[in-house]
Amino acid sequence: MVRSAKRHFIVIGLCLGSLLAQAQSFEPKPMLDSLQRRINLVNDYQADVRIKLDVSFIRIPVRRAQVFYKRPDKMRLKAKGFALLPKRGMQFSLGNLLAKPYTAIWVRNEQFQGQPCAVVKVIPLDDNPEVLMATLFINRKAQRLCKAEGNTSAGGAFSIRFGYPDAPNPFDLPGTLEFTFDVNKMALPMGITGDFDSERPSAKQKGPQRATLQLLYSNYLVNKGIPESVFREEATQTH
Amino acid sequence: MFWQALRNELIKLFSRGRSYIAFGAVVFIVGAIHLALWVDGANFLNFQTSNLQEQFLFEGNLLNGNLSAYIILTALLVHIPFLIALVTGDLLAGESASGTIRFLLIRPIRRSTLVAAKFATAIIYSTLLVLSMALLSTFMGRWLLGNGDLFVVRDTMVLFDASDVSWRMLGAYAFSILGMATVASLSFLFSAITDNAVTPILLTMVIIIAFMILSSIDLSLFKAMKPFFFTTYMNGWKLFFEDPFSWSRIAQYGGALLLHVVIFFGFTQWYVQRKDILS
Repeated sequence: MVRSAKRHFIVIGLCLGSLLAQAQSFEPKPMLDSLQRRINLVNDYQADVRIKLDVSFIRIPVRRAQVFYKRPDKMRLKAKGFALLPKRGMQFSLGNLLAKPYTAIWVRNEQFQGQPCAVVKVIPLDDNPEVLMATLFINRKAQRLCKAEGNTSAGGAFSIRFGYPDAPNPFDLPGTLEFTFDVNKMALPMGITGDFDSERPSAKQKGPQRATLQLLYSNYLVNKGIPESVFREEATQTH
Repeated sequence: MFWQALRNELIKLFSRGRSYIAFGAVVFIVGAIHLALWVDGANFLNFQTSNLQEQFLFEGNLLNGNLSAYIILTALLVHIPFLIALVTGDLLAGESASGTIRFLLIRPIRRSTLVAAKFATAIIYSTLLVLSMALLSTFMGRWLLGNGDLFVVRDTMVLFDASDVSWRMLGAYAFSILGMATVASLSFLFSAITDNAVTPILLTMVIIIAFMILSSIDLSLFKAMKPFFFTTYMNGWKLFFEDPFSWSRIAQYGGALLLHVVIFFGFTQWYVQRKDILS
């Protein structure tokens, strides 16, 4: 009698354990599909953007620019004056990533900046993906992207934080994007202006330093149509 | 009497062909640099910034008249002292060498007034040379390459908005005038001491080259000596392109140069008062 009760207890325990394990993990595909459906609501947009770069050895005033986007992958930024943008991560598009075949793996649930997030790894399955693997932090309640980390085929890692405005935001377009990346001071074009007497970076400064670049969006105009000519102009230039 | 003497000195100065060599050199160098930047500046910038472009996308125009003006200012301010010494070193020594100093000093003009007029001529000449460089590089640069943000790379990389550049450039040129006035005063002092027109020019050049070489070597002895070299303060124009901007440092550098000018001029006056012009 006692032995039979014990057996029942073990079986019930195993069943409960299995149910709990299933409750904690979940299939990320529906959540990603929901994200993609929202992204697909946006055919094009234009917005004003302020660009703030924060790195110890580069001082650039806040730049103002206009950003233009058209599905699937056309992007153009027109700055008033000269602006530096991060090379890694700037081309990242969740829409593009999810539009092609991929495998998604739920990793864990995590609180990210006070938001209940599911951490999902997305591995593209096409032969030459731009992003080799992306780790997405997705707000489970609001069903929107909070953070993306990834490695590009060009060999660089990127990290982008997404912030959203409090105002009604039917398309879930971000109010801020914060890029974090490493910059090496040796990349500075010393002597470009002939200042050969300037101080050279010390051994400490030679290593990579953490840089943060913020894009603060405002005045979104969504699905109003953008002429192709906007994207035909040279996007990045040095002269 | 001073104004009459100054007028005479200016007429004498600008009636000599050699006084225009420096202006010719400025026109040639500024023109050549602008032309080269206009033709090949984009490749030059792409090459220079290739490391930075591995990490950043560039958006906007880096090559513009402000950058060319800054490059010219950096390059020419090292060499303009030689062009200035070529003329100002001859102001008193030339008179001694040709014997005309005696004719000048037997006229009813005080030695101190004559020296002051010649010194003012030296300062006017160096000012005009810097102004010609400023005007030429600003207008030629804006005309050929347009206006834009200025990108300065020293210990840090600083980008100045186009609207924030003009006053900095004006300040830098004004400071450069003070730096060149220091060179003019030094060569003028040597001009008073020697009776040979070539020696003051050579002495000025040797001192500037020696100070610059010693300043560029990272040895503790030279580092300790650096504050005593006037060439250290001549680079003070670069303080206008620092962020954060510091008026107190500019005042300190400018004060040091002004002190040199006063000392050199004072010593010249003192020396000429006692100079034997009969031998």
